Amino acid sequence: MNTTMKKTLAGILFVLVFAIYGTAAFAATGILKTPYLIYPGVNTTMEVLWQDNDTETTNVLSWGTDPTYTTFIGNQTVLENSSAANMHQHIYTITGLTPNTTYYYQVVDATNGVYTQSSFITAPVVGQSSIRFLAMGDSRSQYSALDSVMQAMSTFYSQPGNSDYQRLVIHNGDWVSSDGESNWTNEWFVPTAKDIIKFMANTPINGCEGNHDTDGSYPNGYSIYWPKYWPYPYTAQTTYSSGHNNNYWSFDYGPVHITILDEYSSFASGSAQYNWLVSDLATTNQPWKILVYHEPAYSAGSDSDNTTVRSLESLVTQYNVDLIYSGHSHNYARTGAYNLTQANGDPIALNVPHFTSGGGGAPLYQPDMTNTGSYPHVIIAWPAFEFMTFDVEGKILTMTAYQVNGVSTSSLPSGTLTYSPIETTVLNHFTNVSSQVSATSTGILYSRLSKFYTTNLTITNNGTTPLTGNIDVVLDGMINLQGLGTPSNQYSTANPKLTSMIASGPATGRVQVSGKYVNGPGALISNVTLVNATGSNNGEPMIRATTSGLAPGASVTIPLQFNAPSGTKITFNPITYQE
Amino acid sequence: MKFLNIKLLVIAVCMFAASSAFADFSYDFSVNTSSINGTAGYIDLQFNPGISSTGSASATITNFTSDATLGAVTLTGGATGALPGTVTINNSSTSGYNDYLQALTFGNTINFVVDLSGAGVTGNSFAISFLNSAQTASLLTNDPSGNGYAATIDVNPNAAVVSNLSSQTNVVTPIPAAAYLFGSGLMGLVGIRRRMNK
Repeated sequence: MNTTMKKTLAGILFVLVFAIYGTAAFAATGILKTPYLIYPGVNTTMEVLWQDNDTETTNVLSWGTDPTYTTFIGNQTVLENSSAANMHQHIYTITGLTPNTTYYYQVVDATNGVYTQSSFITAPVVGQSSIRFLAMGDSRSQYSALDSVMQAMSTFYSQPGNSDYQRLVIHNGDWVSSDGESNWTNEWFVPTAKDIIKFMANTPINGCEGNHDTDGSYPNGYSIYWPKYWPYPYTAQTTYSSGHNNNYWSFDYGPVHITILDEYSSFASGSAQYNWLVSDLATTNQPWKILVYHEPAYSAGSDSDNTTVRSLESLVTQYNVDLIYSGHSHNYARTGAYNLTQANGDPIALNVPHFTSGGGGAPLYQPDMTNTGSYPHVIIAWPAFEFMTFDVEGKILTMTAYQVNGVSTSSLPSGTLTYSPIETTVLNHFTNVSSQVSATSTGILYSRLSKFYTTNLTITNNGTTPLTGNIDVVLDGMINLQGLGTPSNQYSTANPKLTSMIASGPATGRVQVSGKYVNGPGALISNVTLVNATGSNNGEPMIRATTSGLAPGASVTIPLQFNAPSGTKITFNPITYQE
Repeated sequence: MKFLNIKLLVIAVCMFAASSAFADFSYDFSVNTSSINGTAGYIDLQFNPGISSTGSASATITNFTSDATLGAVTLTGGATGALPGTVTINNSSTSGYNDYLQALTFGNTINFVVDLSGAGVTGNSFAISFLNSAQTASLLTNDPSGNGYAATIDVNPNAAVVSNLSSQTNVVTPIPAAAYLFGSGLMGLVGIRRRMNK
């Protein structure tokens, strides 16, 4: 045997060993539900869960910071929690971790091989002002679509600069089509759905239950299998019938407080859940508050809105909840109202975006954007398999919904799927300083040649105190430029919570509104050109007038251009913010 | 004494009128169009308010002289009249812009006077541009913005600002009649003071 043949055989042997090892890693004998993660709410911990077959063997969980899985900080033998049928769950909460750190872990069965080798990023330190995470919902019944969405999220956080998004995903309910053991086996923990397995092993999933995860009734709904597989640190879970109800809980994630409700247990005024919600929202010190429940108070359909949960809108207003994140209807939608006229008698919390993000895998629904009948207050809606990204940077929360392209509902993805943004929404906690400044403009001239309106907007600090840092101007009420604003897309001037909605907030000087999405988050730079490409209505621009503040008496002038092919008159009301 | 009182009253009226008249802004436009003599195109005059302007205002074009051959007029928004007669562009459109567009075959010169006036004149802007016959290209302009203006006038709270964007266009601010009124009023006051001193 010559040297070449020896090398060839060695190569084949290596490949065979690798293939066997790799197969074991994803479909090892004995594993029924491959390892997945829960963030228990303490930033030095991570919970790892898996389920194997009837024969108890020695399962060892090891973790450390070595990406080669050679050296571990901790090794823990984890016993099954029950030997009863359909149990054999292994659950272990790793403690003593360092926040903001990537850990590599493995689960090895001494008999059956490697169950996983994956990684996770621990939660941020207390007081951290910036954080990123993902969100999705309504994954039920079509696991190939769920696999596609999870593949897209994995691809997203694998992009340069996006690794932070691996930290956490929020799930807004309807994980499976029915609260049965077989549903979890066949719709979520599918052995062949490699993208689900990979994503779950690398990203903790925290969420709420949906109507399909329970018996669906109110106020005494209960769930058996959802809390079995997602044993979150429920605040006051109770046993009801053969399952559990009151599956509500909350946790902090950096500067964000996330409150998760159980819509199938009573949340009526005076109920245990209601009283807890009041206390939870009243006592959190986090600057950002997100309320998560499955059935939206306001959506674009076609599943009915939950009119009962609208009773909580007053608490949303009272405790300055920044947004509500829901699913139930299988599409993406953003609903909201900015004043009582727009509320039109409905109890909707003003200036609070109500998101429906139900494109996680279930059959898609066409949204109703007529704002009549059963679905009022729709600002934008889009039927797509989708997920959302959340990016908190101090006083700015930027959220983008992404459509996953090329999803098959009948077969697992064979290649790498692409994704494209549906829209970006930006909320801010800036201070409205409009009373201290004057905003004037030159005449708004229209060029027959370029079809552009142009003007110079001048902001002057008329106060006796300096304005510092970034000074931004919202072109509020740009309702006459088709494609850039509608009355229901205005910024909020409400105090003290200055939430605002903006679908067109790129960080560059040029805004290209292209139908259902815009590019990039953040405030605009000066020399803004606003272009309406399609006639859609995508919000109002925020312009960063200066980054160096304004001394008393000082002014800054911002040249603006508005593309208006038909020459329709431009009007706007500048609202000035200090970041 | 009675004569003196009447004289003072006249002077006060003059000065009051002058101060009111100072709210107007008048400009002499002189455009050398010899480089495009014989070319068919358009003259485009526009007057629009900004977000901070309140009240009505107008741009009045008078004393139009040119060897150009004038053609059809298109009035948009608050524009009325026809050159070479008086054209008035009110800032009154609620749906779009206020614009006077007239086809012409250029000669060697175009001259006219623009008077920007009205209680709400502050915060308005005037623009002039020249277009080719297809309205696809601007003429006689160095406007870097691509909007094709030959000149613009922004009436700001403290002063009007002229942006001359064409080497062929000359914009001159004439001494306003109001200044003569005000000056004569001042001279009258000085004369009265001298007479009283005597």
